[in-house]
Order: sequence, then structure tokens, then C-alpha cells
Amino acid sequence: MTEKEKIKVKNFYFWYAGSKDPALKNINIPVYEKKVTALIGPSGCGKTTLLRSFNRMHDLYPGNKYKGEILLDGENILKDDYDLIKLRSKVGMVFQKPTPFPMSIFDNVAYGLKLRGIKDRKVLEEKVEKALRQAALWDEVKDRLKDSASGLSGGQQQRLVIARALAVEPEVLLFDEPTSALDPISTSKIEELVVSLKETVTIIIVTHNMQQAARVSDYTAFMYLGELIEFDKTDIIFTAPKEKLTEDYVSGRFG
Amino acid sequence: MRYQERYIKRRKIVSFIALSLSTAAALLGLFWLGFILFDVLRHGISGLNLELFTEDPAPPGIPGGGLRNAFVGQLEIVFFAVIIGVPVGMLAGIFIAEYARGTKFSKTVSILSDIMVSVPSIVVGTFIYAILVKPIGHINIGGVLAVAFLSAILSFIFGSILNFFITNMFLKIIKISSEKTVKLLNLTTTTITVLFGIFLFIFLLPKLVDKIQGFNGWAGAAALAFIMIPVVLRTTEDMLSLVPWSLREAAFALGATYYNVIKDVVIRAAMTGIFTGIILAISRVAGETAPLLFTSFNNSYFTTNMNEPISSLTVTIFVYATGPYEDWHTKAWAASFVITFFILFVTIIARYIIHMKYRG
Amino acid sequence: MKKIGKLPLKDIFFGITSFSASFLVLTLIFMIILVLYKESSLAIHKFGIINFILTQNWDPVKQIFGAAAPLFGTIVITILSLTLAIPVALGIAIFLAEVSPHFLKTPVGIAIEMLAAIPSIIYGMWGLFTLAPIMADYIEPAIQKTLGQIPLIGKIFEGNPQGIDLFTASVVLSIMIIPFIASVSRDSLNLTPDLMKESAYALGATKWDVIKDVMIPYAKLGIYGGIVLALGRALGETMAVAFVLGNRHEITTSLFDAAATITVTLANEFTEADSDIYLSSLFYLALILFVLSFVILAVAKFFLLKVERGYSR
Repeated sequence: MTEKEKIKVKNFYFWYAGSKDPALKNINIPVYEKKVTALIGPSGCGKTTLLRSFNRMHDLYPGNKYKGEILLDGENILKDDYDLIKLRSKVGMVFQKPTPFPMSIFDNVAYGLKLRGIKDRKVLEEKVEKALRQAALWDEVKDRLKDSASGLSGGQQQRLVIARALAVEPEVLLFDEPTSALDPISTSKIEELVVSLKETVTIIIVTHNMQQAARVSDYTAFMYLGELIEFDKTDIIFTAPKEKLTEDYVSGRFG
Repeated sequence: MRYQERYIKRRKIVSFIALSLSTAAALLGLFWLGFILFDVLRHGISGLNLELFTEDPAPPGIPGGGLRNAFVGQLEIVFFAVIIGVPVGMLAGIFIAEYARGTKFSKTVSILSDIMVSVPSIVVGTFIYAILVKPIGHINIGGVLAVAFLSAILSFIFGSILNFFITNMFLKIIKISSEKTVKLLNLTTTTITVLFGIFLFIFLLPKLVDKIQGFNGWAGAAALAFIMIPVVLRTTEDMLSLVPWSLREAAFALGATYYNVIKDVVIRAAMTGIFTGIILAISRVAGETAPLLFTSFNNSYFTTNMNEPISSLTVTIFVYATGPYEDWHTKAWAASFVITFFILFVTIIARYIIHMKYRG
Repeated sequence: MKKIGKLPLKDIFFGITSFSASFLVLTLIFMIILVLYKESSLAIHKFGIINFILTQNWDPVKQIFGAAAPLFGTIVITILSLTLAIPVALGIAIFLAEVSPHFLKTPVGIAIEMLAAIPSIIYGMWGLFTLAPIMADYIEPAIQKTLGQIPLIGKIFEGNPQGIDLFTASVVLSIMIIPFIASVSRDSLNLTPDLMKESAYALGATKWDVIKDVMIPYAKLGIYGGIVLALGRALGETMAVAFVLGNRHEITTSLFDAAATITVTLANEFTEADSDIYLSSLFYLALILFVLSFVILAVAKFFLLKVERGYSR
């Protein structure tokens, strides 16, 4: 493997507030730059928990605890003095359900830019257009940028949210089951989008849909009960897994 | 993306300032609460003694005496307000949440009650004055209505008790429960109840309407009941709509009538909530002053006769606090202390019950 | 036992009783309007509507009555107390919704709601015996020395501070209405979905960015509803202001003057009205107050209903 490691997770443990048993146990996993890494596993296996550690979303709720290291470009993001706002500017996130803010389409995409102090209307327009084009939404909304974002369909809203995350040019983009609330057509659009995006960003995607993982990802990590069972190239995981558990899961025998 | 370090720093500072201001606002709120409670405690406790509860007021200007008349009057007014307000509010709430669920009528009543909850209480006082106080001596429509209303409530209570006894005692003793007997018994109870109501109306009308002279306790109770009704109604409605529909269906499936479903299943499931709502409504009206000013008015002598002006704690506080004597001020503070801590105590208990029941 | 289309007797009886109760609630509100109108018709005929509202004179001896002064007092106190209460209440709501550590949310929330449970007469007592002297001795002179020196603005702080005036009454009232705005606003802010907040945080927003750009826009209608609700409450509050306002039927330019509101006039004069036209004029005032607050509360209800509909989808 010659790819550059963008993120490296080393001996990582995670505890939810008030819980004695770790939700994640001794996770070691590399994330390669400009590749799509899928996290799969049955419900409750900790895949979303791991994903949310990459931008320290867990810090929003007091009492959660980390141990170990997550290195982003060689720097440990779990350090106490690591600037969360900077981290989240580098690591964007898209959630299970579309979350358009209560503002216009344009303002939604421009929101992250405004947070970074970009006020120049010209620059904003340029970047918003670029992000919407990247998210394959531009043609559908270019005539109604001033309309409220809540008027869009579910699939459009999800692409809008992706555009919003892309507008700030993140280095890593986290997808937390991004198609779980969408119909099949919107789902395939989002999947195409994910594949096309890896030219510019590193992508980590959590999915409960194994076909989806097989279709979009380059690497796959299979997790079970808070532990990493197996990590390898996607075609290997799906065709010749080393672990029995992985084989059972990908062949649909449980989960 | 190139970092605009300075901008991010500025946003963090702005955020810090805004959050500090919000914390300061919360502290200010707590400060006012502490300030007021502490003041009531500090002034009130010095005036607190046994005579306050056991003796009637001394003549104006002369120290000593207590506020027995006001305590008793307050209890009496609130008691009758509850007797009138709770059944009406609960029944109306049951109707709009069950029989009329989802209809325009029930939405209208619900919205109007929400508005009535916040109608200025002094306006309620003027309204009750107009129908129950002003026409002195001779029969007036307000008085007739009030008596009709009172008879209806009393006969309903009578009917429910009768019904309870018949279904629980009588049927068990004679052990006949064919469809016909049950129907016949129902018909009898209903007829007896209606006759009782009519009799009560005819009996009470001359007694009450003629005897009521000017300001009277009934008017005060009616004014407080007026304020209670929408509160009880809305709580009942809310609590009943929290009961899952499947529970009613399960009861229907056993062949129960809607009345039995409401009585045995729905109300029972929602009882804690409704009860708490009623307690909160009582604590709310217990502190009302404005609607009593020109209904039950004030009376410096001890009386339990609701046909006369009757003294209440709150009106007494108003009169004593604005009066010229130091001793009156002390008594006003002591009364304030009793009423404030009673209400806060009840409110906290009620909130605690809600908290346990619906979050735990 | 049950036949389709034929209700059991108990149901009919109970249905009719409970229907009458709810119908009574419906009629009460119309009865208020009718009765107040009937009682005030004497004054309405004598003084008219516009004339009554614009006349400042309130003279029981000459039997001339006008509502201008108490209306003015009501409006000034309502506006001033809202101005004082809104920022504090919103601050409290934000604190309770997003800033406070988890273990403080419930106790602080309950404490703020206790402010609403304290009877208004206690606010009045406290205002008269505790706040009014503090206002007269320290706060009002201090305001006169600072803000009072500015030309034009100084006009509204003129006079000899007594503590029994529009300003003190507004402060007392503002404390009273804080919990109404705060609890409705907090509930609306709490309706913001967690996912929505998280996605703003995920973009690198600070806490305040999330509150200002996501939560407040989300809760906007609810906050308006809370404010209008408090406005309705402030208009109709009697006892909290009755102690600290004096009862002076004059329109003043200074906040440090005694004044009257509709409620205070009613509380002080209703039992003393010695002629039909006097009493009728007081009923007229009550009618005006009722209509005003009914309209305002209906508006508040409209906002809050929209909030409910928006989120029940």
C-alpha cells in the first residue's frame, strides 16, 4: 500500500458519559488520503461512535471520555488544547437526515464560509456556485437560491447539506449513513457524488447497507461490539475476508 | 482553506461574551427570586405567631389580634371555587378531548380557554360584580343563572354518587344484571338526578338570591372558579390526549361503552397529571387578589356566611399594606409569608410529581 | 349491550353533561363582553368612543370621565416593562436551553418558574416596602445624574424621585413577566433538533453561532408568541402595580411621576363609585382592557399554534 495516511487511529478507546464499559475498544485503523473508507457492522457496533470521534462531536455532550490517539496529518486531535473549531473546519460532516438550516439555499451553503469571515459577496457567490456544482445540485437550484431550503425535496436537501460541507473545502468529509432517509433514486445520486468527491477529499462513510459500501468505498472496516474485526481493501473484505465473523456478516448470515 | 485565525479568535470572544451575558441574565433572575423570597421571609417571620391564626383583628390602630377571619374566609372561598371550577373544567376538558376529539368545536373551546387563562383577573372581578353583586335585593338574571349552575353541579355530584352506589352495591346484592335491569336502573338514576336538580333549583332560588346582599362570598368563589375553569380544562385535555389511543381501543374491544372507557381507563391513566394540574390551578387562584376586590370584598369580622362579604388573605394584605398602621404592615407581611410559602411549596410538590411521572 | 348507531344511556347522559360544561366555557367569554357592554352602555352613550379615549379629564365631582390617562399609563408601563424584561428573559432562555451545565438546568428552570408562581400581591408588597425606597434613594437619583443630563432624553427623568412612579411599577412588572417569556422561549429553543445543532457545530460554529444562526431562527415564532403572551399579561396586571404607581389621572412626561393604569383605577375606585355614570365609566375601562388583552392574547395564541403545527408534521 503506497497511499498516504491522512488519519491514523492508534489504540483508541471511547466511553460514553456514565458508562463503565468502553463503547470502542482498542481501535487501530488507517484512513488513506483521497480514498473512500467505509465503516460497516451491525447496529450498535460503534461505527457511528468512531465516525463522530473524527471531528470530536462527542465533546458536545459532557462526560464522554477518550483514550489513545487519532492523528490527523500526524497531529493528535484528541489533545485537550486542540482547537475544535479548526478541527471541524478541516473535517466536515453529513448526517443521517438532511439538516438544512432555517435560511435560504444560498445562505445555507454560504454559512460555513461566513463563519470563516468571508464577507465579500463576489467570493461567496463564486464558492457557493462551485460547491453546488460539486454536489450536483446547481442546475436544480440556480434559479431559486433565495428560496427557503426547506422547500427542497429530501434528496435535494441532502445534496445541499453536502454542498454546505464542501463549500469550506474540508480535507476530510464524514458521512453518517447519508442515504438512510432517502429513496433509491436520491440514494444513487448521493453514491455517485461520493465517488466523484474522492478526487478532492478524503471520505469516511458509515453505512448499514453493504452493497453501498461495496459500491462506493476503496477500503472497508468491519466492526463488531465496539471492536475492529477486520480492515482491508473493499474487494478483499467482500470476496476473501480473513475473519469468519466478517465473512458471516458480508454474506448476510447475521446482522 | 486558508485559516483566518484572527476572525476565528474574534468569533470565540464574541461567543464567550454572549454566553456570559446569558449566564448573567440567569443570575439576575435568580437574584430577583432570592431577593423577594428573602424579603418576605425576613419581614414575615417577625409577625408570625399563634394569635395570627386563632384571633380576629383588633380594632384599627390597636396592636394585637390576628387574621383568623381572613384565613377562614380564604379557605372557604377557595373551597367553593374548587367545588364549582374543578367539575366544570374537568367535564369540559373530557368532552373536548374525548367525545368531540378533533372537531372544530373542541379546537375553538381549547383556544378560547387558552386565552381565558390570561384574561386580566380584575376584568373577571368586574364581570362577576355585574352579575352577582350589583343588583341588590331583587332577583336578577345573574343570580338565577348562578343558582341554576350550582344546582346542576350539585345534582351531577349527587347523580354520580347515586350511580356509584347502585352499580357497586345494589347490583351486587340482588345479583341480577340482565340488560333490561341495567337499562332500567340507568333510566331511574338519570330521572332521579334530573328531578333532584330541578328541586334544588326551586329550593335554592329564593333562599340564595334574596339573601345575598351586595358583596358576598359566593361572588368571590365564582370569580376564582371562572379563573380555574380554563386552567383545569386545558390540563385535563392535555393529559387525556397523552393517553395512547390503543389503550381506548383495547377497552372498546372488551365491549365497554365510551363512558366506561373514559371513567375506568382514560381518566385513571391520566389521573396523576390531572390531579397535579388541579393542584397548580388551586395554588394559582389562592394568590389572586384583583378578582376578590369587588366580589367577596372584605370583612373585619369573623364570618363563615357566604351570603355576606367575606374576608380573604389577599385582600387583607392589600388593605393592611396600604393602611397607615405599623402593626398592619407587620400582619400583611406575615400573611404574605404564609401565602407565598404555601404556594411555592405546593408548586414545587406538583412540579416534582410531574417530573417523576413524565420524565422518570 | 351496544347496538351500532344507538348510544347507551350513560353515554348520552355523560355526553350531555360534559357538553354543557364545555358549552358554558364557550359562552362565558361572550357573556363577559355582553355584560361589560351592557354595564358600560351609559358611559358609551354619554362620552362616545373616540372622545372617551382621548379625554384626560377624570372628575367624579363634575361627572366627566375620560380614559386617556389610564390608557397612557397602561401603554407606557407595558412597553417599558417589556423592554426591561425581554433581554433578560431571552438570556435566561438561552442559558437554560444551551449554555447551562446539565445538572443546573432543572433547578434553575424551576427557580425561574417560581418567579411566576409568586402571587402578584407579593410583588406589590415587595415593590412598595423594599424596591420603592431603593429606587427613590439610589437608583432614580443616579439615573437623573447620568441619563437625566442628556438634553431631550433628560425630560423623561425629571421631577423629584419618590419611588412611587411609572418607572418602579415597570421594574416590578418586568420581573413578573420575565418567567413567561423565558419559559416559552426556552421550550421553543429546545425544539431545535439535535442533528441541526450538530451539523452547525460540525461546520466549525461556536456555541453562540449555533444559538444565533440556528436555534433562534428555529424558535422565532415561539419567542414572538412568548413575548406577546407576556404583553397580554402585563396589560392586565393589577396588584403588582397598584402599590407602586399612585393613582394619578394625568398624562406625564416623566417616568418619575405617579400615574394610573386601567387596572389600578379599577382596583382603587370601583368600590367607591357613587354614581351610575361613574360606575359605568369604570365598566367602560374594563371593557376596553378586556378587548385589548383579548386581541393581544389571540395574536400570541396564533403564533404559538403555528409553532405547534410546524413541528407536529
